[in-house]
Amino acid sequence: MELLQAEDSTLVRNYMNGDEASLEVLINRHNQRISSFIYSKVFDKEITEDIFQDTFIKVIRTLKRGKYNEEGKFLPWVIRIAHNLVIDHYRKSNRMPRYESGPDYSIFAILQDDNLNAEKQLIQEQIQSDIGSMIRELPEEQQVVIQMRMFRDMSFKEIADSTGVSINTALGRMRYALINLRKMIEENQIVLTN
Amino acid sequence: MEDNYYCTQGQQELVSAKPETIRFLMDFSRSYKVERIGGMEFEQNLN
Repeated sequence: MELLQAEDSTLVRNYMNGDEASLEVLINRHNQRISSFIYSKVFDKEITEDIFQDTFIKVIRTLKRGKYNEEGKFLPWVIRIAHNLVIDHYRKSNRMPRYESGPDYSIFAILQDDNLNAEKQLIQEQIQSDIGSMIRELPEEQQVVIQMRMFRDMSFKEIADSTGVSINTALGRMRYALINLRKMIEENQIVLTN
Repeated sequence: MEDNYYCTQGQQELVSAKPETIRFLMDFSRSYKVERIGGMEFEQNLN
């Protein structure tokens, strides 16, 4: 009974410490939200079931390997995994979703569907948070160049003057920062699209 | 049977994964083990 009222972060911690029942509570708690999110993208109940299953297999593997580090943000994290798997599904099947009017689907439903906008917002926030975390993993001199170039829109001349290095060095730091970010994106299987 | 798991509420169709999917996931979780030996990570799934 206590488990049912526990917060996601507590359940995640319990599960990572070996309590399997906590996972069941998490799955049941978020089943409808995650399944409906997937279904709103693929419009097929069997594919939804498959993607839901693959999503939680990834969740289980990540948690059991101790790789989860997004305290208090379990649902956005799971939705982002589901979102990435939906994209994989469309890449594999080589076709993009179509919006059609019909008995199963109405274009007006998408336009008025605040829940879907909320999901997109969650994903967007999650992506921004991921990028921020990845930038913080970079060596300090690369972080500085990224911050100045991407967020303060400074030229490489200004960056070079401001950090006391040559333009070539600033360019080199930017290049290595981007290489490192790409590597992190690949390693973490992050899809930066919404 | 399907109607138990799929329902329409307003304009948005609400969908839930079936109990057998959840059972599969729980079985997968119980049998999934990770061992770390000498800095290497090994995944085991007894299913």
